Amino acid sequence: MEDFEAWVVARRGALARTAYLLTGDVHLAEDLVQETLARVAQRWRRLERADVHDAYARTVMHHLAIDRWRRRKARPPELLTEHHPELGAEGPDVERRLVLRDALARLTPKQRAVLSLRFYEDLTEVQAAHVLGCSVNTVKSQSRAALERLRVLAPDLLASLSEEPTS
Amino acid sequence: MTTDLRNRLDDLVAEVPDHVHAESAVAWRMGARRRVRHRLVTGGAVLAVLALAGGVGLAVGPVTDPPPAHGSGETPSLSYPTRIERPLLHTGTLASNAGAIAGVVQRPDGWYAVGQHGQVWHLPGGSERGWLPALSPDGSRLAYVRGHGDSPDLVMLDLRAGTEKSTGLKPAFPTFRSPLPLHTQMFWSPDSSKLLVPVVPGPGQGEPTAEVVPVHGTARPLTNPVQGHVLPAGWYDDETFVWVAWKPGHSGLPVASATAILTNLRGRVTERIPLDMKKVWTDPPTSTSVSVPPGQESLALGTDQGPDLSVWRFHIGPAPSRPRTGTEVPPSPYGSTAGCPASWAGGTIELPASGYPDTILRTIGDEEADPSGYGSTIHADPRLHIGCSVWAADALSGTAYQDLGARIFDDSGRIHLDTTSWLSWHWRETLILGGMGVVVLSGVVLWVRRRRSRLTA
Repeated sequence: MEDFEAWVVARRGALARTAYLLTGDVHLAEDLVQETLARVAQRWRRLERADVHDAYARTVMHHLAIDRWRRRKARPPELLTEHHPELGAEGPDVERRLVLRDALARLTPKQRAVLSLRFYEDLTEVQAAHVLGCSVNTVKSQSRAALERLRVLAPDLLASLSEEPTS
Repeated sequence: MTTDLRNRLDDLVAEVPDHVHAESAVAWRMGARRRVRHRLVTGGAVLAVLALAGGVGLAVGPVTDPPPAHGSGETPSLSYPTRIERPLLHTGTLASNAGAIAGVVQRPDGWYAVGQHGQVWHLPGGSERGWLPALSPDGSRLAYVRGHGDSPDLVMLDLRAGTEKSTGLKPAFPTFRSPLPLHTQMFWSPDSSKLLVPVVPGPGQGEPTAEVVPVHGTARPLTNPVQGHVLPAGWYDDETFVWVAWKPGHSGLPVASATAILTNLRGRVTERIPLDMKKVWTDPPTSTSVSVPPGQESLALGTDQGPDLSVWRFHIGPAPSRPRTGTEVPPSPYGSTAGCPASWAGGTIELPASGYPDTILRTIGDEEADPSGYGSTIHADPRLHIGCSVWAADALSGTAYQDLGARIFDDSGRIHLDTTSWLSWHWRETLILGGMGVVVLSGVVLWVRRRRSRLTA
């Protein structure tokens, strides 16, 4: 339990940021992080022996995000009762952050997952494919589609992104 | 570009940790609950599977009996199968060390050995031209005629020791005399140590002779005890042989009376017992067969008259009455296989049957030996097209082995389906095809679901 708490304290920030990238919503990100932590806790001893907490948490979180989107029609939309401050609405470059946030929200969950793994977690295409349980070609196509869509949705913001990264 | 996009994403999510609260204690409790639940579900599933398997096992009964002894040299407790199923893929050849078998059956393409648990093996080159294979009472020795044309050879197999003995004898064909049984028989002594074989008469011999072939040692010739119409019937004991002689009617077959002649191994007559059938024939019988149960003081004489079979049973042990009056056994509702001799289970007559679907052997009415009236019944897959069958006396006297199909479909089975129903003989193919269908259907459903998910994504 102590080891788990220590790991949570160390990884909570990174998990929250990735969850937000995947969901685009603070409440959903919070649910995603909590569910991911519960899954990790369920198998904590086995993960501890193999020392693969981070990799397992990353895999679970991305799968949960995609699964949640697949089940979206089966669940009624959640009604938020508490107003939440809009993230990134203060400080410099406010407009640019809002444009990027809205553009990300219009990507598919899989595109967001690939974008998160490739451009935020800095994983290679092979590693990203392993996390998502898909082929490398799928990662490549999803990555290309995500970047093209971002360029369409935020042309000024991402005009400089002319090249696709290589693994 | 990677660094640029990374910086912008970092900038976007920089404040997120301040607003996303994750409780490690709550997550730990949730994980612990799920662990317990997972263990309970897994344990419950295992218990359910075990309970299901146990339930099926109790309902159907044990299906894996110990295999027959292979070349052990010890006398196993013989049993006979209640059902003979057609081999699903391949019918093997009888191995010389297969161990004691229960019987041999005739199919259109030759003779097949049947194991105590219903296994079926081909008997290579088995018994051409109407010769019945002879199976010793203990099921461990098999004699049959191999080869055909002008060079038939009598082969004796010791199925426990795995040895084969070629006797070099040329057995007599059933055409050697008239009247004739449809098959010519050889007879094992009750102790399974000697075989009596009718053979082709030598040059200058007017009457057929026989040879007594011991398992170990050389054959000894045996001449017919009397001139005229004589059929070998079997062994009274290990040193005495039984013949049946008669004065023929106009068809040449025994009509109303006959004589049982007991001889020793040298052919010397030791006793003559008149047999009275008390029967008046309106039409002549078409064939006849006689048999003596190993080690019993009985003799059965059967005659076919078209589809009808009449069987008389005589007591040939010591008794004051002469002649012995035969008891006509009630006709079998299961019909009979023409010319195929009866088998014996102790003193009970087991008659190869043809008149009832899928039944190849049935005890015929002998209330003294079988008060239940059920006796031995052996069913066989009709696709095997089994005609005549010969069974080891010890096997028929032993326990009835029920395989899984018998436990499910026989009259005494748990499901009580009709023994002769289509499903009772095709249940294995049905299960396999059904399983394959389920697998294919599951694969198609999974493929469609994945494809739909991909398209949606």
